[in-house]
Parts: sequence; structure tokens; C-alpha cells
Amino acid sequence: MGGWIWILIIGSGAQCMYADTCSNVDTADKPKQEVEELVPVEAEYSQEAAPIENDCDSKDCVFCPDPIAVCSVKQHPLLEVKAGYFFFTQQDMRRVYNQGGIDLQLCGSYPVYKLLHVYGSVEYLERSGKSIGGHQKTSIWEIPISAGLRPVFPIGDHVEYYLTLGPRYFFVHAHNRSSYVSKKMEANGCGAFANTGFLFIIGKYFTVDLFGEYSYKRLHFHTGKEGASGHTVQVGGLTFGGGLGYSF
Amino acid sequence: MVRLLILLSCLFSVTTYAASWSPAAPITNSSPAYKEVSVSSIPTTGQFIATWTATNDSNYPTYSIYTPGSGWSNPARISNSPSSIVLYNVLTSVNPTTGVVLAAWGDMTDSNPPIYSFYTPSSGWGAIGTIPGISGDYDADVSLSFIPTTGGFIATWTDNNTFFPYFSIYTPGMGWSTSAQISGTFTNYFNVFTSVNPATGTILATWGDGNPPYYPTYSFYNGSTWSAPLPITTSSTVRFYDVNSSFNSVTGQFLAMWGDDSTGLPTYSFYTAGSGWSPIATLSDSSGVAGDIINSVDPLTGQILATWSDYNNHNYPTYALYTPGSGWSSVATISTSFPAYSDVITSFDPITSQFFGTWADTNNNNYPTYSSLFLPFPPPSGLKGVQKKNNFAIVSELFNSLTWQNDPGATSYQIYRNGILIATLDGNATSYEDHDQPRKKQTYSVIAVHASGASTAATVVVGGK
Repeated sequence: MGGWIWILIIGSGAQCMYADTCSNVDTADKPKQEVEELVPVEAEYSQEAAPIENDCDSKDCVFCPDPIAVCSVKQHPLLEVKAGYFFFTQQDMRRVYNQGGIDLQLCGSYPVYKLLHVYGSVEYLERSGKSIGGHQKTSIWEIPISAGLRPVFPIGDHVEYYLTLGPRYFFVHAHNRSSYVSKKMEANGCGAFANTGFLFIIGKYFTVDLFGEYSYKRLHFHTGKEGASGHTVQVGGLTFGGGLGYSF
Repeated sequence: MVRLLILLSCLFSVTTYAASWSPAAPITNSSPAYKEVSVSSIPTTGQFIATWTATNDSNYPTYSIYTPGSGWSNPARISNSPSSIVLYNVLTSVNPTTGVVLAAWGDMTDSNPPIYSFYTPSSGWGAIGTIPGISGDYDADVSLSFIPTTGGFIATWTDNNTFFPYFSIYTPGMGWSTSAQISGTFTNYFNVFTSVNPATGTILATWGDGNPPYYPTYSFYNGSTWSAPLPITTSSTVRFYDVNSSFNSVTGQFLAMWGDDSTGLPTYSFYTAGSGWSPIATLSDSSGVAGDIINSVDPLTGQILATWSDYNNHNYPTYALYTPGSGWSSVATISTSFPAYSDVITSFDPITSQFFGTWADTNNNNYPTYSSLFLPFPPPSGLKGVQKKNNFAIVSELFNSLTWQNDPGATSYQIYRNGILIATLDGNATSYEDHDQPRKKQTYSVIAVHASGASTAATVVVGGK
């Protein structure tokens, strides 16, 4: 709870990400190219020291707690490619699959209401390792497909904090290099995920994303091999990484 | 019931390798022996060497070598020197590490201490030599023992001028020590046998006291001095001949055996450090010992083979087998068609796990004769079993893991689960994993298969809660 309060405090002093919709400087109808030539509203305000009426009733200006800031935020669709390091949170999975961990994601978000985005992603992750007790090689890969809602919290001109929640479909494939258990095992099902991070605005179109993600789904793996028994495991875990985005 | 049948089938597979003597056969039909035929195994080659005094060849020392798959070589002289002509018998001892054979005997032509010659597998017999000592010694048989702690040998004999037991020690690089008395108070009738504790190098010498009442007598050599000779027992006396001894590394005991003077029965006593000699006992109440009782040991199992010529049963070669924990087997004949002249000398080859027994066949011109007794190899030692989980997190299986110590002579290993053969592994294997097993108790047996037979089974129960 303290973290969220801290984020809101930070956000209270935030400046607008884009000034093109702020009515008090009348740039609402200007094309985007022209916006770049505008003097930042804070600088303009400080030079002239003139009071500026806050016009936060504008429908595009959704977050403007500072009475002296010219604040307007316009959210845009974002397409991202992300990479990260994934590890399982269940102990047995973490002990067996203790190598690798690459996690690649293709994600997109679309603003649907003020600072709220809908979010979707397709992901690929894999890990490998050796069985405990038998020391036999094994590898696992997953394709999680996610959908969710993402509220965005601007922090200053070039930073946004976001939090995403939603369901996630997991498709999991494992390959065991052993003749004592099934060599190929697959399972799938729906779970959930949450991710959070910071978007750093680079220029007009690009963003750099630093994120952390948690996912959860318990899946049971069936085996037809006599003498072997399948287990129910948590196939989700934690991912930490970064991404490069393009804002439309 | 099914489990019982399975276990019985497992036991049957083990008892297939029960001990039995091979049919006796002549080593040669051309070279009769004077009395005894000595035999020693050469563990480095798997061969046995037999030596005797050839009575149809002017009593020259003679030998033949048994090679597995080829049989006995033609008899040949150990030496062509007239100085090598033998008074009684030719005895041998082998360095098991190098395969070097030492033969020694008392010579007929002079009164010097014993004659010896070394045989190496690569170059054959070397020139004969004489153990250094005082002139005037007059020796009969010469007993030899290998001393593992030095790589040398000890030779013992009776000086027939004084009838005191004598000895000399051969040390590699130093040669023979000057012959000296073991005792200057206890005389001896014939021979002095020795045996060695390979861990300490302690040597036990045993003989029949030449003075009435002929008690079996012993003395220990600690590397520098002999202990004062004492009777092994005062309740038995030695019949004419000798007291043979052996050391059992499995039990840590010496064993002395002789034919009792009054009954002729095969008699023995065990020596345990700290406890001394056990009360005497006999192997049979009917078998008479014609000459000596020779005993030799399987160092792996601690089994001891005692052999003699039974004068109560046509002088047939006779034996009894001692197994630690079980005691002596019943007395039985090695052969009922090849009677022995006097002693039946034996030697054990750990590589092929068999004793060779040799004697002069009095039914067949005293030709040297032999028979072999194969003993089941000891089970693989250190067998351990544990059930483990092969955990892939999403799936797992249970497997039973077996480990054992390497048996150097094994050519393969057989693994049985509840009496059923489930795997055959090569001779270097020391572990096995039986996968996809249930969580219940199962009995595993491991048998080491050697070129000449198989071991008894080592068993372990694995699994279960």
C-alpha cells in the first residue's frame, strides 16, 4: 500500500506527457508536428510567472493534480517487443529447470478510456535442466497468450508507470531425455498474470520498458509410461526484463 | 507362494556353482615322483606349477606347468646340474604379485644347506644356488612361505645333524640370510612348516617335537627373533611326520593340523592372538592320516582346504573344507581310484577360484596326479541398495539404485530382481539402476561371473515404506 501511495505522490508532481491537448495553451487542434515546436508549458510559465488557469475539465486531460501545471495526457496505442529472464516460482520446477530462462514477448496496448488500456500479448519462454535424482536432461517451453487491462500512471514528461492484470492461457511442452518417463509431455489451461513496469518515452514514437511480471497456473501433466507418475505443478513464474515499444 | 518360488529359483541359480572335485588325472605318465608332488598357483598367469623328484631321471628336480586351456606341459628338469639331485621332495612358493616361483630342496650329493632356484614366467628357471649356512647340515624337505610385507620368502628345514629346526629368509636385493636355528632345544623329526600373517609379517613355524612325547610345537618369528618354542597342546602328539599351518585373513587365525600319534585322526587347533590355541579337535573319527595334513586357504572367503592320504581307506586322497561361520564339512575322498603315496599338497588360485591338489598315484607308478576343486567365488562385497526418485518436476519415477565393490576377476555381473534375471553388466560395473519401480520391497541379487564360474549371490532388499 505504501508503494502505491508513493507512486501517487510522485504522480502528483508530474508533468504532462504530451501538451497537444491542453486547452489553456490552445494546442488542441494543432497537428502533432507543430507540437514539437512548442515551448514546454512549465518553462513558459516560469519565465512569465503569469497565472494560468487550469483547464483540467478537458476530456483529454485526465490527470492534473497540480493547480499550476498545464496538464494534459493523451494515451496512444503501443506495440512492444520485450525480452526478459523467466524463472519458476515453484521450488521443484525451479530446481529441475535451473538453466536458460529466456522470455520473449510481443505485446500491444490500446487506450480505451482515459489512462486505461486494453492489453494483449503472445509470449515464448523456455528453460532447461536435469532431473533431481536421475540427472537426466530435460527442457520445457511455454507459449502464454495474455489479455488484460492496463491502467497507466504518468510520472513526469517521459515516464509512465503501468500495471496490467488479466487472464493468461498457457500452452506448455516438455521434452525429457529419458527412457524412464514420457519423452514429450504437454498440457494447457487458463491462469492469470500481472505485470508492472515503467515506460520511458524516447522521442515521439519510441518507448523503453522495464517490467516485472508474475503468472500463475497449476497444470497436471499426464503420463502413459508405466512406473512413472505425472504431477500437478505451477507453470507460471516471474519474469524481469525490458522492451522496446512503438507508440502510434 | 509365488514369491517363495521366485526366491527358491534364485537360490537354485546360486547353488548351480556348488563345489566339486574334477576327476583325478595324471599330470604325466612318464615321470614318476619320489613321494610328494608339490603344487603352487601363479596368480599372475592363472597357471599352476607342480614339482617333484623324478625317480626315473636320477632324482633330478622336475616340474610341469598347468596352463588353463592347454593343460600340463611336458615334465622337464629344473636344473641339469648334478649338484641339484634331490634327496626328498621339491617344494615351491610363489610371489603372487610378480609370479616369481621359488623352489627349494635338500640335495643328495652333499651336506650343505638347501638348494634353491627361482623361476620367472618370462625367462624360466635360473641357476641353482645354496642357502648360506654352516657346513654339515643335512636337510630333508624344505618348506617355503612368501612374506608379503617384504616380498621375500622364508625357508625352513630340519638339520639332520642336530635335528634342530633351521630357517633362512630371502629378502629381495639382499639375498638369503645365513641359516640359523629356530630352536636349540626342541628337535624335529622331519619338516618345519611355516605360514605368514600378510598384514603383520608374523611367521608361525610348526613341527612335531622330535623328543617324546612328540608334542606339536610352534614358535612365532616377529622379524628379528623367534619366540621360545612351546607345545600347541599337551593332549595330542604328532604321528611320525609334520605339523602343517596356514593363516586365514578372513578370521585372523592361524590353523595347525597334524595326524595324532595315538589315533591317526586328523587333528587341528586354531590360534587366535590374545587367546592362544583352541582345544584340539578332530575332523573325523575314522580317517587315518598317512603322512601330513596340508591345508591351504582361499583368502577371499577364508575357506580352508585340508587334505591328506587316508590310510584307513586305501590311501585315497581325502579332504575336508572349512568355511568361516559354518565349520568343517564332512570328510570325503577326492578320488577313489588314484590313491596317494603320502601327502596331498594343495594350492589355491584366487583368479580361477580353485584349489589344485597333487599327489603321487601309487596305483600308477607314482605318476604325479592332480584334481581341482572349484569353489564358488565370494559374492560381490559391499552391496547396497536404495530407492530413489527421478524427479522431472512435472513427472517422476522411482528407481532402485544398487552399488557394490569391484571384483577384479569378474567378467560380468548378473542382476536379479526377486529371482528373475533382469540385466547382465560388464565386469567393470559397480552399480545398477532399476527404473520405473513401484514403492514396495523387492529383493535384488548380484552375482559376479568369472571366467571359470560364478560367485554366490549378494542380496539386498530395496524399496517399501
